Amino acid sequence: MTNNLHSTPNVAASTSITPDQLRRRIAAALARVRAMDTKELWDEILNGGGDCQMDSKETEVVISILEHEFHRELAKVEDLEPEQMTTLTAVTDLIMAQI
Amino acid sequence: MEHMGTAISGDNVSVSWLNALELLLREDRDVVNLAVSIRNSLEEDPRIRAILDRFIASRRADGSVEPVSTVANTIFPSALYIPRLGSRARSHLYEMSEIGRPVSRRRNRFGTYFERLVAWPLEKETLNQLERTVTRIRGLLARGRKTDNSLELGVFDPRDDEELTHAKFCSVVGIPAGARQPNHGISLSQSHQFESHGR
Repeated sequence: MTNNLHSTPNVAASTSITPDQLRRRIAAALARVRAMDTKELWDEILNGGGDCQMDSKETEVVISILEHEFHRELAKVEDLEPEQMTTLTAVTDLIMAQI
Repeated sequence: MEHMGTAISGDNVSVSWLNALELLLREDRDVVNLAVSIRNSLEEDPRIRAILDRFIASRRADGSVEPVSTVANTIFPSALYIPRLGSRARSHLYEMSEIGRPVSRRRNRFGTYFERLVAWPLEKETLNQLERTVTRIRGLLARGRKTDNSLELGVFDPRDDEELTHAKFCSVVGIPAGARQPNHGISLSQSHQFESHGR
């Protein structure tokens, strides 16, 4: 089995990314985890009031994908308590604090 | 020797768990080789789950207990298994769990049960026990067989687990192919009782 992290665009580490841009990158990674079209998921998020629930295992994969894209660790062990990883907004806040 | 083991069963996950818990409370000590059989292993009683979730939530502050969903995820990360993918569902599950592993390992230093099921560490590669067992079950069913003695997946690794002397391990997950329902499962939680036979 190939661990193909390169199927999402690799972006340079940047501190200038906005929360909305990061939110869209997380949504794109989540769409890959859920094996669905990114636009379809984004529409679901917008229709759901701008947020969505995430399973802690989905969040681990999303963080791992983004760490590969940003070339840095984005979550420490203390950030990974299950209750901290349950929504798109919570994960955006967590990662935004690291970049 | 008092006894070699205890068998508990129930109609669904919740009742089986509750029956096992009540046994442990009655015994008020470790139970040697407790086998829990679940007749409908995909069914859960939401009333029991809600009570347990509330109980755990009230004790989460010190981090000494984990939510049910977290424990369940260490055994099988169901959110990563997407049935609508059909024949690709398993490979997607394996790929996503592999991608997430570096982050998962930060909370689970020795890996999760599921990691051992799909990526048992060999010298230069890993062994996917789950895929091998699924393939074996399909082969048995295709040949009309309903029983087999080789459908076990190991999760105990002496290279890591010998350091965890306080922990209890579920060392074998058995999948009886001859069960009347395909989702019937058995887990064996092994605890050992030592005896002295004189000096």
